[in-house]
Amino acid sequence: MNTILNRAGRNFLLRHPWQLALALLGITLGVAVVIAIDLALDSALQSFKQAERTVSGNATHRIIGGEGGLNEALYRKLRVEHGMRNLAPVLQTYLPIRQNPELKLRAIGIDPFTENAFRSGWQSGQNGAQAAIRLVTEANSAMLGRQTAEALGLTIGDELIVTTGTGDHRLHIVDLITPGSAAATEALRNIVIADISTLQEITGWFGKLSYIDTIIPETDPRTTRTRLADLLPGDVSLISIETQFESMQQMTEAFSINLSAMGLLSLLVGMFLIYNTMTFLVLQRRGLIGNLRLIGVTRRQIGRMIVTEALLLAVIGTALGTGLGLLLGQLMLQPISATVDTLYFKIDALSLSVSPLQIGKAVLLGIGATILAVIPPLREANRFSPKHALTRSQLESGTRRLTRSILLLGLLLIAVGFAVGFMSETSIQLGLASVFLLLFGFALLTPSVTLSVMSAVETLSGRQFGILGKLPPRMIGAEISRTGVAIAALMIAVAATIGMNLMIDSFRVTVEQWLNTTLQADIYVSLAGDKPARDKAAKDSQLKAAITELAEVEEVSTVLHTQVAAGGMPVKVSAFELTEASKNGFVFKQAFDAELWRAFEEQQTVIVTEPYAYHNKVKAGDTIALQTAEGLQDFKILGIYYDYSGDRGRLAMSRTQYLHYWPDLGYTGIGVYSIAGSDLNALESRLRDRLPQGLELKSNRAIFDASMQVFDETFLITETLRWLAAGIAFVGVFGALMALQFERTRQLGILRAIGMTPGQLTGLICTETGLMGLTAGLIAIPVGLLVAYVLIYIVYLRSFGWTMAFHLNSAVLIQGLLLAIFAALLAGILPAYRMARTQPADALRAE
Amino acid sequence: MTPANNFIELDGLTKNYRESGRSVTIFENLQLSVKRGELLVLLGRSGSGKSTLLNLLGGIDRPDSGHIFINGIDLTTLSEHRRTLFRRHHIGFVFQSYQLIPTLTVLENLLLPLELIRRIRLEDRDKAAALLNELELTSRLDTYPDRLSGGEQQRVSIARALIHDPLLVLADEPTGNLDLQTGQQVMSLLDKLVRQSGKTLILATHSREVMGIADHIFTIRDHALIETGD
Amino acid sequence: MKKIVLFLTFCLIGLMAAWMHFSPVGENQAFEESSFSSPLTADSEGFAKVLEPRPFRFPEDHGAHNDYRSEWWYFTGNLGAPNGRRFGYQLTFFRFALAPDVIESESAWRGRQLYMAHFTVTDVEKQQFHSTERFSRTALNLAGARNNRFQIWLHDWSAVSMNGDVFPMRLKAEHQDIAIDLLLNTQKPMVLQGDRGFSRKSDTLGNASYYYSYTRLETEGSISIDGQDFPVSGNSWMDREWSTSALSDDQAGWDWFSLQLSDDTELMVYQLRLKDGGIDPHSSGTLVPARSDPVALQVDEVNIEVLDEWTSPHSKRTYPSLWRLTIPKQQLQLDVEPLLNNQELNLAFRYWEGAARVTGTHRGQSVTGFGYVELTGY
Repeated sequence: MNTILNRAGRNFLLRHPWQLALALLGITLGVAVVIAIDLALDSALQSFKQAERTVSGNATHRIIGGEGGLNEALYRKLRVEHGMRNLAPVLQTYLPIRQNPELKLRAIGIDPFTENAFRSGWQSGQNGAQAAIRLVTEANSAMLGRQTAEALGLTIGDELIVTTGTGDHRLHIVDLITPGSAAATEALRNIVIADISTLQEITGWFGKLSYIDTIIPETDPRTTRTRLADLLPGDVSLISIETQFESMQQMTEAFSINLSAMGLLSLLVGMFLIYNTMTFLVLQRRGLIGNLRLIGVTRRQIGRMIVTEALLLAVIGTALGTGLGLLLGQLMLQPISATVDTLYFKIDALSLSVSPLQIGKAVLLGIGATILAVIPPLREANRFSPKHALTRSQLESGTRRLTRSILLLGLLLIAVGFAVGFMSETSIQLGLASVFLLLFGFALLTPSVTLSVMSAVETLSGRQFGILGKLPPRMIGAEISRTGVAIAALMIAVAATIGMNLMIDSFRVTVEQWLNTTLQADIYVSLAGDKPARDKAAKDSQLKAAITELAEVEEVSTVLHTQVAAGGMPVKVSAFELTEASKNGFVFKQAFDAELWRAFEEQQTVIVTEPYAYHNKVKAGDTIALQTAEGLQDFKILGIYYDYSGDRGRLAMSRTQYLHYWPDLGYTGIGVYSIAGSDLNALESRLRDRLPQGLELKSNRAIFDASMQVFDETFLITETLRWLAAGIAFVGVFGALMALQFERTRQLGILRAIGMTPGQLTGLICTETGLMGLTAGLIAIPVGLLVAYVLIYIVYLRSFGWTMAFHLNSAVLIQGLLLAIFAALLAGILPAYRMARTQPADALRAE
Repeated sequence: MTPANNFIELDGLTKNYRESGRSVTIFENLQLSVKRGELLVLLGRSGSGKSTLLNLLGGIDRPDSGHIFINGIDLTTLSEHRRTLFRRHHIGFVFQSYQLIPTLTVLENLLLPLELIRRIRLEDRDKAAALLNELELTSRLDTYPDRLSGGEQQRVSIARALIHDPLLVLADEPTGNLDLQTGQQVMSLLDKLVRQSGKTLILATHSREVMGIADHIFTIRDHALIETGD
Repeated sequence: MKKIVLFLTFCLIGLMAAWMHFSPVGENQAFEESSFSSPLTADSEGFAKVLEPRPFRFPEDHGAHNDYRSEWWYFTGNLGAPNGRRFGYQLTFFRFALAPDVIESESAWRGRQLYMAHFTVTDVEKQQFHSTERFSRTALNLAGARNNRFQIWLHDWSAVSMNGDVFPMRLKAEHQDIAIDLLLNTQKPMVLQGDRGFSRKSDTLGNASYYYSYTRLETEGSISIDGQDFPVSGNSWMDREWSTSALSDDQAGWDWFSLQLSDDTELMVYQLRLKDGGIDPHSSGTLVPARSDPVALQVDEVNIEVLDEWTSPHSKRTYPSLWRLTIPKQQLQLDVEPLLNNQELNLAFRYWEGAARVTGTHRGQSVTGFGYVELTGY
């Protein structure tokens, strides 16, 4: 009995391959996007972790200093004077290589004779003692991971030419590392290992270490840890590597949450699709179900039949989605980690890492969403009484009553959405939840709004176009349970698009304005050290003097971007030498007068960026305790300024104050202010002549353009995901509309029979879908504005700590409207085309 | 033979259906002539091809070979568009299951065929109202079809088939879904309305009751039409 | 002298030590000596060679001889706590030159010397043997030896003269919960081994080392085990040796004894075992009588009989564990028995080196004593 029952259902399904395909597509895409985002994000972090783990092996803690690194004498002190064990000194930098100018290798200088307890990737993957001895005794000797060497076409005995501030250096490859595990192999990609001495020799960083890794055993960590921490100078911190990973994870948290939200949006729209298909399948079979009930099939059996179908769809869709998600994840890995790289920290080697947990999560989501989406149609199926299957219109009149409850529920959700949004404090999740609630709430309003719009349209177009004009709005209104869903899905996608677009637009305008203000100098010289150089401070200062002497130069300002420590963690600091003009480049949240500027120069004070203040919950007047070689020093916060260059925030202090406690690391940039009326191009070329090779010169315009380009690249991934969500929504609408049209094949057949031409029919169908698109678009505009508002003032502020000015770009609204209409029209074309090609007689025979 | 002599002239009409890969013949080389104003009844078992023949006559289906002349025009040579326009002007359909447009009111259903031909004028409304009055449906003017009884729906359907003054009315089992009494009522209405306007009516049925009013009775048997007389 | 061969082998250990760090073997897993005996022999080009006796100059010669390939400072001792509890210890510093020529660099890390140290404590009562090793380059003075006074160190392990000469000398080492802090004073003058400190190991030119010892060092200080301090006293032995040349191919390993007898006599004997089971003719020894000059012992004057064996549960290797030494010419017969069988060092280079008890007769008098035995190549 049950098998025949199932066959009855299955046969029905197989006769509607389009619907099946669309439902599968919905689940597949939804699951795929969620998996892909999850995987790509996680892999970016995992890759970073894996690389760090491979390099530092079993190290549990790390001794770090400021940007200037550690004095190597500290290592001797710990080892010889205090007998500390399990210490691995490391000097690291990034080296551009001649063989592949695009690539920068991470160069890690190690001591091959440290304890083997670290069991780091370079320890465990090395082949012979001879290589280690050569690293120590031979100048310019280095090891590469086998994979890296192969990628560069190098092998043992070959040379790797690297460029540093001291010129080009030929590194002899004395050995290739083959780590035991695939993960470690991957992690050693783009890494070159040399002895510390070699790295010091080629960079000129004599006496310096980047950090010292150490193993503090789980057992009795306190005494060792405390002892070690007590031995460190004030500006040096002992941090747990796990804590460091955690803080990196936190750093990217906002970014992750925002991306994941996009994934969920896709799934949400995917759910509409599933709901739609299942509803279609149930409604289409109301006759069949009525008959089955008549011959004694119980509600439970009918329910089981439908749930089985849904589960089958869910399983297949989820499986396909998982596969597609892996593929998509691979594709998204590059752009996502590029963003992480730009915004947060450098990722050297990248590989997709898939954990069963992630797959499990996606499977649960896929199947869970399907089950959720199938509940309403299931309830509907059980409304069919065995005596007589309800007619379509009876169902619809029921639905109309339902619309009222849905309207109320929608209003409730919107209210809750607003409440959550305003009460979300600093939680990004709550902020996003509020966006979702609002979107969903408005989606629930859609049927009611649609009905009102349709009756208005009917009145208008009926007057103009008679009965034919009345038909499209009537058809939409009559089948509101189906059309409402399609419109709602489209509305969500378009509103999200409008919201995101407005947000990005506002953000872009804000950043543009900020850049215009902040870029006060005419020309900027970038001394950022890709290439580590010796005596950088002295050379930089000579360069500055040389620039100042040029006739066209009025004055110069300088900045050094570096890191110091606060509370054991690194903090970004900019040390400024400001001119009066460059002070105008700062825009403060509160008034900042000359008095305060004097304090900035003369006292132990800092100004902080808005994200810093937001994340660290500080305000003007507070103090920040910074670690210095002379112990903890309090710096008073004079003010908070706008800065969109990073979302973790930074401190700024005057160079004088900086040099009081920290070493002179030269400059990161010099701003050149020309004498009024001088020829900037001439100045630029004169500057270029003076600059040592490899330093960059940029006009403020060029910096502006470059910054905006970075901005756009950063949002590329967001943009891509948004289109993906819109794409799924389109598929959803497409599916819903197709189902709708196929369902009324016979009705369309009658219209043809009584003399409607295929062209007229196409017009009818397209008018109907176009109207639906229009409705979706019209509702999406205010909702999109609202979403943009919440994104700008709640989510992004929470996420990144940036204040943005709302910038209303009407083009975005029009685009959204057109997108909705276009998508809906497109979805009407296939059914219209099919109807036009069907003989009316065949259409009349349709079920 | 000159097709002009007869209002309807079927010549060598052949229709096959493809069913699970196999070709099933419905009719083969069918010949038929009908004069203007005649009432023709088609008999035959379910599936014998009555509906198919009506569909072919109405131009909503196409034969595999042969010609269909209606009022001297060969439907089989017309394009889909021309055929639709021909149908719009000259054919009225009455279906077994009424086939009203559920989203239009009774009046709107009635006016739709007219609207396809021309812009609705005031007198069209009057005409529709008169017709509905004749069919005793005046009170149902603004009602949606699903609120009507089967008999009422079929009456609307008949009105819809006649509103635009077609030359030919095709009725496919118009009483098939109705009880006997309602069926007779509908049938006599159909007869009366069609006859009084001098239209040609082809009626497919398996009910012998209607045979009394027929001018000719044909049965489809073994893929051919056989006149059975009365 | 014992370590003539060990010496050479340890050159390799240097290499191996480094290699160990890279090889995916477990932390305590040692490797086979046979696997590293050959590469070094081939590559002694450019290093200074030990060719003939030379006068020693102190304190310079207590320091490092960086042009020779390998060198060590070897301390072993048997100590007792007032309550009678016995301990043995070993603290050895090895130096290996990784390249024959000095490398000039502005980087303090660049260098060619690698130091290694072994530290063991034998806790007789608890039947426990603690052993550990360390490596370091000389960079930043992480390890090294001074030439103007006796001072040798690797990280915080050190042997340092307290007054700028040689003795008193302080030995300090600590690893996890095991530590020693000892003060050493010599009872007897330095013994030059072999021919005025020139110790030949084979007929091949240059196959020799410079070798001197302090055979009886009065020792006082403390041993700390698991946080418990024991005041200890007893005798230590120090060996100094440097060389460049290598082990010959037919040698399998050696058994080495340094014994301190109750009649104020010391005996150093080593036997180089050949792969064919015989004894290499270059095996030899030195007897240091209480009040007269040291007497060199020839290979045929010493007879060593193995009376028992012990198999290491860790390495599954079988070592001799009871010997009878007879030197008829010196009227000396001694039974040597380890204080603890398990004194195997499972380090980068695996060998057995442990404290032993001695009983026997010397010139008709019964004697007792303690000593250290080293066994390699098993």
